[in-house]
Amino acid sequence: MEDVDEPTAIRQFIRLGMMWYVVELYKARKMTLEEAAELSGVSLRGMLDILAEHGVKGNIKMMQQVKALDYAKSL
Amino acid sequence: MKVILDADSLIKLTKAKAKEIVLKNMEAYIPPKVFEETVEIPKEEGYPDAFLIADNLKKGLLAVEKIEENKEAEAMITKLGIRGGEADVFRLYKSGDFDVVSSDDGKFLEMLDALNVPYITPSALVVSDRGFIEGRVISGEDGRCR
Repeated sequence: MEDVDEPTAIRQFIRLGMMWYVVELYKARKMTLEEAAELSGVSLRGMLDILAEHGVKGNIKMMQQVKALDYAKSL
Repeated sequence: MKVILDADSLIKLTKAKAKEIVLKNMEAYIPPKVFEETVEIPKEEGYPDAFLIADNLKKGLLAVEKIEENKEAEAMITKLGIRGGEADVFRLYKSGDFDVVSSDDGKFLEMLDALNVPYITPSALVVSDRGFIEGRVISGEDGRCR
């Protein structure tokens, strides 16, 4: 951190905080992937990488997965 | 089965190397905005999966489908605040004879539920493959893809 000037460190701090907030909102299904990408200023594909870096592989509920599997079984 | 894939579903199936197997067993479509999100923009950013998806489009395993205007769909999109590729997925579903929408986005699935649109997740798409459901023996190559 010695080589980073204060404004740069503050900007980085704000950006990291915002990313954490966006990831939390996505995890809680408060926003879609589209909205998360838009708010973060990255592409949708880039947002998937950011979520993966934060250990988030998905945000669907158990009931949603059960419903999807029921649909698959009905085919 | 005619399925519409959103960007999230298509990218995850591609990364899991399950896309080709799934696409061989169903008619898969994407709207123009999803093409932009999964091929055009990621290609510029250097994501390898974008090239794989483009290759599947060339092989005819996947098709970009044009959307017909639908005032009822537009009203719902505005009311629910659906954006980008997800809005295009819903427009496409309402404009044609499609069976189901595939997505892995919890909030979008909640919206689809509210709109009475049947949905399937990418993982459920993989297990919907008849060989998997019926417990048939699959080839080693296909098995590794799963």
